Amino acid sequence: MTDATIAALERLEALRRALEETRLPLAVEGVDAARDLRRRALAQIDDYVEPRLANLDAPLLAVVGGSTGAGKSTLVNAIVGLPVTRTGVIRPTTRQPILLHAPSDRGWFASTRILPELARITGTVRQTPQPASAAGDEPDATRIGSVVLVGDERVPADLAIVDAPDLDSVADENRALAGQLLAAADLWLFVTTANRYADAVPWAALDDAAGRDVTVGVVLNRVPASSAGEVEDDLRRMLGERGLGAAPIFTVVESPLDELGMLAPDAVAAIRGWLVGIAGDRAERARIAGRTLAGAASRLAATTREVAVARAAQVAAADELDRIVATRYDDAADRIHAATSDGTLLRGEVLARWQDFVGTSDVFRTIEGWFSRTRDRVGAFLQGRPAPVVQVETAIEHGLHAVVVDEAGGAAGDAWQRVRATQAGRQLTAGVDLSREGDDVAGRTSRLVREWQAALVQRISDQAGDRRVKARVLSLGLNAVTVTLMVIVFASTGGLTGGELAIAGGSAVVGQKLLETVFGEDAVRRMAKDARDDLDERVRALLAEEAARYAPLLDPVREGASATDLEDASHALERAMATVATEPLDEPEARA
Amino acid sequence: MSLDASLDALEDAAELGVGRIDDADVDAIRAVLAGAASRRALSSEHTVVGLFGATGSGKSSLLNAVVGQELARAHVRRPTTSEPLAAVWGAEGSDALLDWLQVTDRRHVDEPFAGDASLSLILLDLPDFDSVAPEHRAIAERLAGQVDVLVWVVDPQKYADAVLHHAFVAPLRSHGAVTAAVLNQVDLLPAGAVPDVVASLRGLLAADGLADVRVLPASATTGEGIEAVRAVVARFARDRAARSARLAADVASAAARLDAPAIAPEVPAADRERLVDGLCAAARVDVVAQATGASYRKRAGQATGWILTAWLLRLRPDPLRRLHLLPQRRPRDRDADLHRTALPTPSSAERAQASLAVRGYADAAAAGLGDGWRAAVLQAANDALAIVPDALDRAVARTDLGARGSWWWIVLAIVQWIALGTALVGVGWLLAAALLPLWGLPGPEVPLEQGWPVPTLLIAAGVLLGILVGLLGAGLGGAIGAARRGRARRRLRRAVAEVARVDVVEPIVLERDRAVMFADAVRRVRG
Repeated sequence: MTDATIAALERLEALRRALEETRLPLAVEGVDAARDLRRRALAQIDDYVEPRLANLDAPLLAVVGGSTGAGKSTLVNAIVGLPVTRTGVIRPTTRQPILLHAPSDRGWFASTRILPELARITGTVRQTPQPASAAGDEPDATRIGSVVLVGDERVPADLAIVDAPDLDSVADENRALAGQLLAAADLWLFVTTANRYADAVPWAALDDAAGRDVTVGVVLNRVPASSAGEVEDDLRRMLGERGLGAAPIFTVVESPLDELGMLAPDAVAAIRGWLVGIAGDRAERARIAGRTLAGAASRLAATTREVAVARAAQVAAADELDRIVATRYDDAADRIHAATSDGTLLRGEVLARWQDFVGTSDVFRTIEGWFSRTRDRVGAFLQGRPAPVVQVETAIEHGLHAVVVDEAGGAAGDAWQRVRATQAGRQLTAGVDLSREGDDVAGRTSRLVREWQAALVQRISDQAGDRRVKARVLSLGLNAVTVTLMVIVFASTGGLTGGELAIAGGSAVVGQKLLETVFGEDAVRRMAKDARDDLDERVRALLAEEAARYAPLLDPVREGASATDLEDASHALERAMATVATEPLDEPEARA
Repeated sequence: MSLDASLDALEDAAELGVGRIDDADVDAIRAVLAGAASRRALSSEHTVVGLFGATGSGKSSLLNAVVGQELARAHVRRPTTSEPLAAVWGAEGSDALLDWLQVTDRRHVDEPFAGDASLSLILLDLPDFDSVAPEHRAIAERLAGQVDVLVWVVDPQKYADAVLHHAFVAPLRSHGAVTAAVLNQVDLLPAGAVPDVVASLRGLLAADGLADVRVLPASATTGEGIEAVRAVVARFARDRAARSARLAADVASAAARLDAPAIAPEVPAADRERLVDGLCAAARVDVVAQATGASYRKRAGQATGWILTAWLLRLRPDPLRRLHLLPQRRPRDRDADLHRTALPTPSSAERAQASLAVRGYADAAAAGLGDGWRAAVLQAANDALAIVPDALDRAVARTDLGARGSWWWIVLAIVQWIALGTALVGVGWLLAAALLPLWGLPGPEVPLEQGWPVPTLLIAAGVLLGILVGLLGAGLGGAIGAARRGRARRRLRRAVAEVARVDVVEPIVLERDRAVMFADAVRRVRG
């Protein structure tokens, strides 16, 4: 093994890891195709590219593939000259692929270096030939993940033949296995019939083969003798149109089978001759293996880039969902900010309680002041009613609480609807319900309000460092100062109009003047601003927690290899493969 | 269930579901309805039988064999047929039908089909659906949606192809009544293998969802089984039921795409109560009711309290006036909607409470609905939220709170004045008795009653009466005020409940009923 090969193997391993770690969970457009590409690329690395790159001189694998009913099994039996694989009229027939090899190649094919996911079952050739309709094992759907190895001298050395399931069968597992085997083939014997040769499905596989530069031989089976020439010409034209003009066409005329269900040997002599010729020519073998490998590697790199595009689309879709949620919650935070700073929070209940607290607004306020206050205190004492200052506080708390909880609920509903409006979002949120606000938002909001108030009290205490100020605060009551500051916070940006301004704004102005006499103008302004910012920050934190309920759904999408990782890996593999291709082939090594 | 009824039900479902269910489903339904309308407007005499199959399965040969004439070109080159060909029995009315089917190659056959001159039939030879020519598949797909009877022509090589089963047979699994399968080219099978292959094909069709479909082995080359194919086609043509059966199958298959969840007929009453509770809190019903009671108490005190101290009460603001709700200030005939402008706009806290209540109700109403319906219900809730706070304020402003004064205020006030008068008479008497003699005038006599001077008794009685009446007034005011508070609360709650009904419950229930009707329509379609 040369350094270039070792380097290429390392690159291949890196690419494999990147593909392995690529996640495509979101249902965005084209994701099914991308998942399929990724799965097939991984399988092809394991089944073919890696073992072939590591052992360029290993025996070739020729896969006989084609449509259901094209006569693949009959053809294989004819090529090796004995009924090994079961034929029949019931479709789909071949379920378990049979790999025919020369006994000397057993070591390579029995190892799990190629097709590692398929279990190996060793088959034996019966001494007394069975009819082809009963040859091989009973079709067994549970054994679809295995391959039967049959060693026989009649198979040319250094070239194994595998009988693949149908490309276009109604059985999904057949189609998948056929695709897997074709991806692992060095050489493809494509079998079609006069009825079949214009089918779309096999031509898609042939286009793929042409793209990968696989060596293809085409068998035109079951052709009525009368129309053989015309059909062959038409088929050659179609092959030419698709860049497969160089592929040899072997026409097998529809002919009766013998009592063992076998075609006459001379019907397939040309095919056998072609295969034996390749098997016997080491240089030709190496050329075919190298060409298929190079094609597969470059296709692999291209596939990886397609997966990278799909991966980028996944991340973009996740980001988009994230953005939808974040935008709605940002909006909610803005609305809470607006609702709590335009003074509307001070209307109604709060305003009423504030007026209770600062006293009546009439001209008799001073006269009445002592009377009403005394009576209120006595009344409160006798009736157990809270003092007005506590009522203002409660009213503010309730108002603020309702605003935050409402916006959190509204944002949850809207964000949910917007997420569910996208296909990816619908699939992502299939198992959860985030349409309401999270658990205990009401409780958490209460805590938020309490903590904000505690911070407010702390701020006032800090501000009242000076003994003189402290004395003034005490004379008013810390509660009263706190409430007054809250009122200033909620009216700080104005927004009140007309008569409202006179009532709510006027009240706030009274409060502001009061506090300014205690702390000084700048200090009041600063405290109000700090308290405002503190509230906004706490609200945003709460809403961020709410938005983060989508994180457990979205984060896994972002994990794993990135699109750039995939692109880098694909380019690195291409560069490494270019070095391998320009090097002369290794001298033959002793094969195990 | 008749085809008319199911088509109507399907149309209902589409009308109700538009904007609430997947647009693709609505489009599919509309396509079915349009197709049904077109087909029903056309010849009901003719039965349109389409031969569908893969390339090389021998559709053209089968057509020729069934007709008994070389109408269609059969060839070894694949794909052969690129345009549909129609063999037509019974010319009358067939042209419009063939125009609709977009089949231009029409061969009128004079000999009666299967020896029955009464049969009107269109037998279509169609392009394949699995070759490298995608336009063929497009034609086959279009006509698979239009013909009355679907005949799947398969051959021993291709009968298990994925494209046939996955792209054509399985999606048309509802159409078993108008489907037949022909296993063509049985002459290519070894003798004795035919029943096995037929059984295998039957199994595959059953797996597609077509358990009872007829499978007819035939060979266009040898003529084997052709008579049976002809008989099946003739039976479809004779019954003249295929057209309706096909449309019924289309309807069933369109309905199968739709979800019809079982929805509880009513939103639970408890949720509605919660809505009203929430809206009451938002409209500050308790506050207003309290204020009504307090206002009554205050005004009763003002009117009936001891006159020397009652004036002090005037210095207290009236709780109702502070809410702009004092009735005396508002002429009875003034429109509440205009008056509304004098009220402060609702605070954000009130809006938030209303919003919480409305959304809670919408969530309860949307329980069990699909995403689209749920979104529509929540949209209705959002629309309601735009008007509810205003409506609540108007409702509160319009409600007669029963805050007017009472007749007994006047009675007690008169008694108070009498009491005051009595005391003043006593004071005057005493003053006169004390002062007049100083100025040399004869002072009034001060008679004694059981040892007490009468003027002093008058003063004491006046003051005592004033205080007692004041206490009585306060007691009555408190008791009646509490009753007024309760009455105001009940009236306000009724007004709020009305707002809830008109502005919240009705639009939401309308949307919900629409979902119920949709589910019902889907169930009707399904029969």
